[in-house]
Amino acid sequence: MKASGRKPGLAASLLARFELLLTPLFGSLRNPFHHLGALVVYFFWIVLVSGIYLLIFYRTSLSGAWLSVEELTRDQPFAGGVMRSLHRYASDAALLVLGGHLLREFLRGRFRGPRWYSWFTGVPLLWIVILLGITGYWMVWDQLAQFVAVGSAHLLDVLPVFSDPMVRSFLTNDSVSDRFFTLIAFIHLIGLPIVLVLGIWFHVLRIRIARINPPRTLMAGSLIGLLILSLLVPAESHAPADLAMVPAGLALDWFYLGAYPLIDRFGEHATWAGLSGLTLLLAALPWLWPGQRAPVAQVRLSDCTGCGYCADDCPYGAIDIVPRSDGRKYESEARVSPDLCVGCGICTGSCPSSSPFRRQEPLTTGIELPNLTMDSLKQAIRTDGSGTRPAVLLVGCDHGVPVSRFHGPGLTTLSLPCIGMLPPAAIDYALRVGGFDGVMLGGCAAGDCHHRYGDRWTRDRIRRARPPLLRARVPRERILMRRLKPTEHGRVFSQLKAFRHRLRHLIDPQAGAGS
Amino acid sequence: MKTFGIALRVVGQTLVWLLLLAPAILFAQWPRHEVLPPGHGELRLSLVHTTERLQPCRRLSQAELLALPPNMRKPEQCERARAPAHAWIRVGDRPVFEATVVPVGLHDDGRVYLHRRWSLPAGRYPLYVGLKDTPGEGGPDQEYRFELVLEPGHSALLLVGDGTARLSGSDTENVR
Repeated sequence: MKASGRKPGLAASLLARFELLLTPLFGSLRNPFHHLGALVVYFFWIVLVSGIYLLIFYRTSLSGAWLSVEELTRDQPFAGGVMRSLHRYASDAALLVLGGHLLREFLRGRFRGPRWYSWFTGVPLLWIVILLGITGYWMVWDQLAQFVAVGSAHLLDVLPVFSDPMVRSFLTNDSVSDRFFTLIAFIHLIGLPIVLVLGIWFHVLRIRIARINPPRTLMAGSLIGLLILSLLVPAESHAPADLAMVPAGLALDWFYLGAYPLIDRFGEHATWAGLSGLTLLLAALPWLWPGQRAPVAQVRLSDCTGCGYCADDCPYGAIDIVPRSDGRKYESEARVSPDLCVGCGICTGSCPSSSPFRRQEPLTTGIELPNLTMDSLKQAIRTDGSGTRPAVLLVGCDHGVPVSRFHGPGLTTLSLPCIGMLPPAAIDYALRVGGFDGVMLGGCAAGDCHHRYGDRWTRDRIRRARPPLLRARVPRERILMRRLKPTEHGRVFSQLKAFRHRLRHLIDPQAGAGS
Repeated sequence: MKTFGIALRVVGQTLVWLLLLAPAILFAQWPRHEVLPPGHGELRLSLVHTTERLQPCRRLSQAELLALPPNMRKPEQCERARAPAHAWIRVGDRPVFEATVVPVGLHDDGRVYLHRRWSLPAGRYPLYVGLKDTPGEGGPDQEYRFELVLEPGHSALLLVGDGTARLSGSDTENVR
């Protein structure tokens, strides 16, 4: 099998370099960029808790809305004021991080193929969040709320839905009723949050073991950051709404309300066309830019015992364990859903039958990729024949550092779709039969596996914490696992050098004595 | 030394969070948005009007009425569709708006709704509103004249419809 070790694209390289800036301080596992989706959910928890506090003091009436928010801000600055600022800034942070999450998944190509579902269901979430923000601003009923309410009414009135235009509700101060605030409060506090929770559920439905909570250090750090900023720059209201005046000098929240100036500038129809076009473009991206479809894993019933390890390890829930269909003595068998399979090969790594020690020609296993069979993997685990020692097998993944560039005497490289595809028995085989002195594994950065859990499962299998276990007899000092970003060639090079030095010492303790 | 390292890391992480979250706070209120240019006010038009029917109602003859079931013997039969309204707005010598608006409803049988807003330099203007609400060609059936006094930042509301017109903050009104 030829080591592919493809180079990451320019966008992925730039993204990796940018994200690496935070790794020295946070560590790779807790790098905030590796937890953007979970951070969005966490910011909504802050919004929810602070929002409940604000609701206690909020009055849903024309005369009470602005006044109650103002009293909350002025009369209890260290509770109400901070809570209000926290509510607002956590909402902005959520949308900012949501944008980052969307951009990151796009740049890494994780929006197409079987991953279309999460991308597609994420697009409406964006609008639900924006609508939550918009209705939140209405509730204050200050000049900004007036600007937003009138703009929204004009925007909605061009739709052929309402016969009686909505803008008539905002002609004079007398035409706004208390019921309007009850309605908006209902939409903001009950309607949209329910839709949002349902939307998030749909969004992660096809993801197994979805990470919806970021690490605690990130929770604490972001909360402290938001608290400090809330104290430094407290959120304030504009003057009360007055429909006989035009709002002036609006401190606009460009994250949530950025579309409103477009209405004044380009008109309602053009704004609708622009926003709808952008939304459709985003939603249709998986089909407009489909990319190359990865081969789907295939089950070989002759080698499948229905143990279920592959179903447990598949990060996409693409494998089901179903009743046996071939009459063999086992109760069940694995079945792959082609629509969900991304071709990561993690199932091959988790299959107990994936052992190069088996004397079968050609070697097969319970579940494997048609383009990267167990037989081709076995063939690839052999030294280059140069006799150079220590001989090292460097296994990488297609989304980490391209390992093919390190090819040289005494070094064999192997790039897999995911590091999780490597069965533990293959490491044992490389050291006992393949003629290697050491095996270095270099998957994606910790906490940032392209296929979500490939790096974690591999680490756990080596530590004998997750089946299939790497045999205890395998000398762990001859295995090195380094999870790095695709641009960290230098670190791979230095780690490889140090590893070879260590191996040289293990092969011949006398040889390294003087060095 | 280890405690110092942890403290340094916590401070560093907090600073990074402040840096990462700063755009969220910055763009949540800056740059400021001005709805109107300096020294301008706004004129809003709200036209809600029931126009004439496209075809006049016809009285049914006695024979026609008797041919109908007793509970449907309505003496007049009217087509549903109503005429589109045509509106002219002139501020000073400048026409700011002229358009035809179709009544709402699947059969054009509802009222005519029109809401527009214009930004104008503050000042005093003669304001003219013309409205045609009958079928066929021709000029306005109703005309209204006001004196618009627009102050900077103010929003004047012109309510037109169903035979009346009113400009907020103005008593002048001429109806033809």
